Amino acid sequence: MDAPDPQDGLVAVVGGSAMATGEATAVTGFVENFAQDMGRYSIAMGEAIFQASAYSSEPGGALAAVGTFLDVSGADFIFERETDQAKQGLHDASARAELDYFSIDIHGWSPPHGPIVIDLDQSFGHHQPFGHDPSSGNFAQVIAMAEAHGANTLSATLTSALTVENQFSFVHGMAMVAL
Amino acid sequence: MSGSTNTFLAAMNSTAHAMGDLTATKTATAAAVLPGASIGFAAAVAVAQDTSPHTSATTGGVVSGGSITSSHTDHVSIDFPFGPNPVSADFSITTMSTHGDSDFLSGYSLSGLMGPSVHGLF
Repeated sequence: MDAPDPQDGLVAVVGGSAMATGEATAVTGFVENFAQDMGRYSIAMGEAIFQASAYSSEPGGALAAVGTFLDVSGADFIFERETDQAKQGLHDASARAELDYFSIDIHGWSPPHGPIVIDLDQSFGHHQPFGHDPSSGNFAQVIAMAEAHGANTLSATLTSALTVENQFSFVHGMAMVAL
Repeated sequence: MSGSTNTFLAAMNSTAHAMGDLTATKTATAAAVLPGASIGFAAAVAVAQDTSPHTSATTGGVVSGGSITSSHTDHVSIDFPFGPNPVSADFSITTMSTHGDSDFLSGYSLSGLMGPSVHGLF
């Protein structure tokens, strides 16, 4: 397999973060990213799922926020789907964000007007249960994975989790692939 | 208002880089904080096959908050520059954990920062 032209390089970074404030909080994150050189073309795909839940005995003391992001460079086609949900109550709050993507880079060819991007963005109010049930304590957990196959590849992941007793939970995660 | 607030942190990173006509890289990190403890894990693998292959795999991280902290890192590098298909491979794994009474941000009362203050009004 010959090394691809430098202009055909494909780089994709996907990730997100979640935070919750309250006496009892729980936040989680999951990130997965994959890329492969298929010869005439390369593909990259992945997902990020972040959730946050909070409970506070003080009215209005519970907050939950989540976010995801995607950055793709060098792809000719990018399909992206984002789903966000959030619920805010008097004593509890929860939020969930999910992002999936798939991208293709055809070697030696580029769309005449730049990359073709299809982005589906769905936001919901609260209609169904989601997230965790933070009964007590402050929890934070995040996992990130990245994998690349081809000529001259790079994979990198970064995760961080932070809690402050009786007050706060935070996670951040990202995964990067390049080939 | 005085007293300390238990604060736990875990942050991990991993990077794998491979140069050659035929390469594979894989990385994974995980960080978890639960009441009284924080745990971190990072792994990286890089493999390359070429006439002059090059690989690099690094992992690291930081955990904070507990009174007892432990960490462990393993790194293995293999280069086999013989035959028609020389191979290079790097592996790295890091695990970290901390638990016990918190001393991170000790002396600072975060609950005081979050609550109302009347200092200086009387």
